Amino acid sequence: MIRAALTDLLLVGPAALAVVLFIFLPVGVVFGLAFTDYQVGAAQAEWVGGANFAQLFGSRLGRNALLNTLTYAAIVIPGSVGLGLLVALGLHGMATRLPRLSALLRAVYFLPVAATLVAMAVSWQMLLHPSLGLANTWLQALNLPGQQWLSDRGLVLYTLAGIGIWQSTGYNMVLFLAGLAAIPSTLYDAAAVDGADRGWTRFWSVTWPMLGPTTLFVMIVTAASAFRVFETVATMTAGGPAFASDTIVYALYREGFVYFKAGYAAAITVVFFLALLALTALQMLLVERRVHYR
Amino acid sequence: MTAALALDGVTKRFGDTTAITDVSLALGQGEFVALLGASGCGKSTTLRILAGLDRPSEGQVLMQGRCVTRDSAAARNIALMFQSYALYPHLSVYQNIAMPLRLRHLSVAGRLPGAARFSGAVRRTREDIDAQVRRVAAMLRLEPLLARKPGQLSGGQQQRVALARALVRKPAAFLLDEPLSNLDTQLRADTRDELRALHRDTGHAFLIVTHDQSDALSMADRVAVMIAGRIEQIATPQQLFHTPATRAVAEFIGHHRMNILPQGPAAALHPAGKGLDLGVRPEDLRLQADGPLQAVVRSRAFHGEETILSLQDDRGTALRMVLRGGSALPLPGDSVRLTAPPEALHGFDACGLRQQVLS
Amino acid sequence: MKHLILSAGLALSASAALAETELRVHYAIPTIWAETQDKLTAAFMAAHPEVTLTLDGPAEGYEDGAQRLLREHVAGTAPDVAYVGLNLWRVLEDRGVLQPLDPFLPADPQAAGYTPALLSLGRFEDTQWGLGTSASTLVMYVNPALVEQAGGSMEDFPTSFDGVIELAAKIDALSDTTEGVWIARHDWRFQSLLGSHGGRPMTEDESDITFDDAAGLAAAGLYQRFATEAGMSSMSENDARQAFPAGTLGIMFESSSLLTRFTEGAGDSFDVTVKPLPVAAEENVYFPTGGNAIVMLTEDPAKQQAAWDYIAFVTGPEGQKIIVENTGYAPANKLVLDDSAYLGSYYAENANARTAHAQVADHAGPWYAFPGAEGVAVTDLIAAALVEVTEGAEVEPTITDLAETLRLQLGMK
Repeated sequence: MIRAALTDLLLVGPAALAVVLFIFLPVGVVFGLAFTDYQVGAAQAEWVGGANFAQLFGSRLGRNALLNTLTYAAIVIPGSVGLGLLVALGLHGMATRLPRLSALLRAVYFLPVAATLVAMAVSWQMLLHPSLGLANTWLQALNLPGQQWLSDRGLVLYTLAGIGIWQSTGYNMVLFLAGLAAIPSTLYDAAAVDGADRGWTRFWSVTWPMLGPTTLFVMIVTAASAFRVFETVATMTAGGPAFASDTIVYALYREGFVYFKAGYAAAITVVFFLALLALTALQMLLVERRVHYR
Repeated sequence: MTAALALDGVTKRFGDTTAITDVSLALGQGEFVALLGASGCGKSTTLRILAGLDRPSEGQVLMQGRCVTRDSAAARNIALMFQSYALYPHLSVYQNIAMPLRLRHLSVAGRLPGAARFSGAVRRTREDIDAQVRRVAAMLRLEPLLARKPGQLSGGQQQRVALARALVRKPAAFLLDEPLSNLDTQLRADTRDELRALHRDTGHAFLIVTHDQSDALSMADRVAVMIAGRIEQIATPQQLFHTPATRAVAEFIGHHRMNILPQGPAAALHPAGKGLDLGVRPEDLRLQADGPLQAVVRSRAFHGEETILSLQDDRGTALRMVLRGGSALPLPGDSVRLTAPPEALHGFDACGLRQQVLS
Repeated sequence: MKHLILSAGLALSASAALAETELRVHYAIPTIWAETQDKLTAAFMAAHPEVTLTLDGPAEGYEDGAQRLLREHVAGTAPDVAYVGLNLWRVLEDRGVLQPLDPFLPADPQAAGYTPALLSLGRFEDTQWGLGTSASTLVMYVNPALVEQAGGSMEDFPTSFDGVIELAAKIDALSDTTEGVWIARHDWRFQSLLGSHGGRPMTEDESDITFDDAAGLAAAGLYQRFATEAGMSSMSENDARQAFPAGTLGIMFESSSLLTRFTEGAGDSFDVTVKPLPVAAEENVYFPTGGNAIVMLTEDPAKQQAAWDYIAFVTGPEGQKIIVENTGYAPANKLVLDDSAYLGSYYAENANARTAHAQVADHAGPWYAFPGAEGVAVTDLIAAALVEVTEGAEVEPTITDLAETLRLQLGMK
């Protein structure tokens, strides 16, 4: 008995220790720091209670970052889930008639997912350049006014959201394609016999409900990545102009790594961590409850 | 009488393969027909063409004498029960049963939740649907299960739901794809009776597709035997068993495979054997000390009510016979003599077609 | 945060086990500095064989570099000498990372080429914490082709902001794709315009914000005038840095350190020409200086001497020559400018560099870093206010509000 217990401990011990050392302990430290005014490099820190949290939710900048993130997510989630679904439906339908083209398009749509975002950001900057970029050249060819895609305060967040959609549609498409392939064809036959043999009726009575679990999963994954938006902001706008594209994770970076305000950055991390935790919990709850059809 | 549903010279090709060839089949009003065949023989294709899920490459589909070849499944008002049941997993039993009616009688707007509050017509339609769902549910004893999801039901219950969904809208014809294949032996027997009763009560034309001849023979008014994409024979179960039209049907029908004695040696049993292959069912062979056929017992298998002997006659033809009762059974290695009554002999010519054997 | 944990662990094993004459040097932005640093190291070790230099892997940017130095200081693994952004050494000083250089400075710094203006770049409250190694100030990059198309003249180029705005408006009107003028909405650019008007961002003792005076309003007002009178667009810094070499932007206010990049970017399509920043005020004019300071971190007296030798070398004429010739930055030592033996031939070939560097010698001044924990954060607030002004917000209330916000946030009230 004791020997077996020792063996178990020996097997589990190192990994558990690593988890505690490299995950739980740092997370604990972050939670602790969140209640201090610690600055990177400072010798000491003061306990400030909830002041950092009050600043995040109370200050203009903090609320701006939260609101920007929510706006961004509110565009990117439906946008990339919807577009991913549409593309998947198109490619799924095309796969039987034009298999080669379908496979080619699938790869094309997936490219943004596989590409390095920072490299892509450079391309986007060139495309969206106000006087030299293709985007404005096309607009002008259509006699429409060019736009300051990345430096107009009213537009920049939507531009980034557009890029966010472009970036995640391919991934969602692949998930939806897998979901579509898993729908038994007899259900479509059943629906056809029941009177739903084409178009929307068929989509609403079979495809959409059968994609329920996939859709929920895709939504949660997209939401998690939308709330985490950082690379595009950091590489293309640095949160600007005038904080118009400041998001929660960029603010975290800005406060901690540019302003050296580790305590405040830790508070943002804590809020962000809890929000993602809640999202995950929601997912598990919903998956258990609703969409497993049990 | 015009058939409720009929195929006329239907051929279906998928690329280079031909699934069914020149199939003609009529399902009369209120008739119960079984389409019997081994798996892969083309019966599912036939069913899908009947239902409107596939289009024939050649030939016509007719309903009440009208050509419906180009009509969609929905337009034909044919009910189809799938082998896998194909219940909508996200809908309750009630909603599953109501689905065909909702799709048929309510517009997209009328299907929206709460639409009944704004339109009297929608409300009346919904009440009508509710009444029909409950009627069918009562008929199939599904009332206690109406709120459940298919995933919470047993196989037999799921099958009744699938039946209910097919029956709820008073179809012009009712097609069942292997309705009994997913059920255990006891449930299977009960369900056969139930299907017969349903057919009698509803008066719909039934077409059942099965690979199991006891299902087909026990339930159907007529049985169509399909072999390798062609219909070999359509006849009552009795005719099929007693006067199979071809050698293939003869070998296919029957609990034990029919013995075929090749032309020539078969003459030992009956003079007609000079020009015809002679078939004799294992049940019809008798042990008789001065029987015309000499054979050696190869093996013996005891099955309770009956015992099956595998034999080989002196010309090397493998034979099988079924013996009832347990007394005086020959042992493997024993030499026996066999006979068969002339009325139990089936003659087939070189093309495999049935020829009269005079007794 | 993980880094803190790791650093704490590393601190245990770290100690001053290094050889006496070994020095570790930190620098940032390898894209500009890598080759130059290698040459400096080789030249110094040739002159001082008793000292071995090791270069730490460079940080990507000044902020990263400062971060790393702070962390390494906590862990006790900091390098002995570091190049840091001229606006960031105060952050390090504030946290006790730096060692004062006064004990090492020669009795007469002026004679060694360290003019008071140059010393001011690394000085705070009578203590010398760093020495400039490379300097840049705001200059005007001009596209002569566009100027001539718009009917202007390079020989008679405007030396006042009014003249620049007038010319820029003409360039802007040339076509849909041309733009007249562009300046980043950014703390350092604002401080430059402010200095040109004789203003300062703060009082000498850093107890109050002073950019809400007439000079500050005029400087911020320029942003608005550029936009309304010369059609300046709100394109981003990245966009502008592409647009100028592409030949669609007439006049760009930018750091003199970008000279090489713009010249190479424009290639043969036009001759990038540098013009000095207009001087708007009669007196008190200064241009805040960007670039690098070199600072001493080691507390070991023996190493400190070697470290000073290195600092003196790179800030002396020989090191400065290497830096100027390789980076295009302006030198931070008067001797190299006065004695044409060092850079005479370089300037003969690089007229633009001469213009830019002369401006440094005439007007170099500190890049004010705002004090305290919020010091870096408020620079983004300044940038945001400038965006608003550029987009049409009234100048006076915006700048007054900004000053008030800064006073509150910096604890000046």
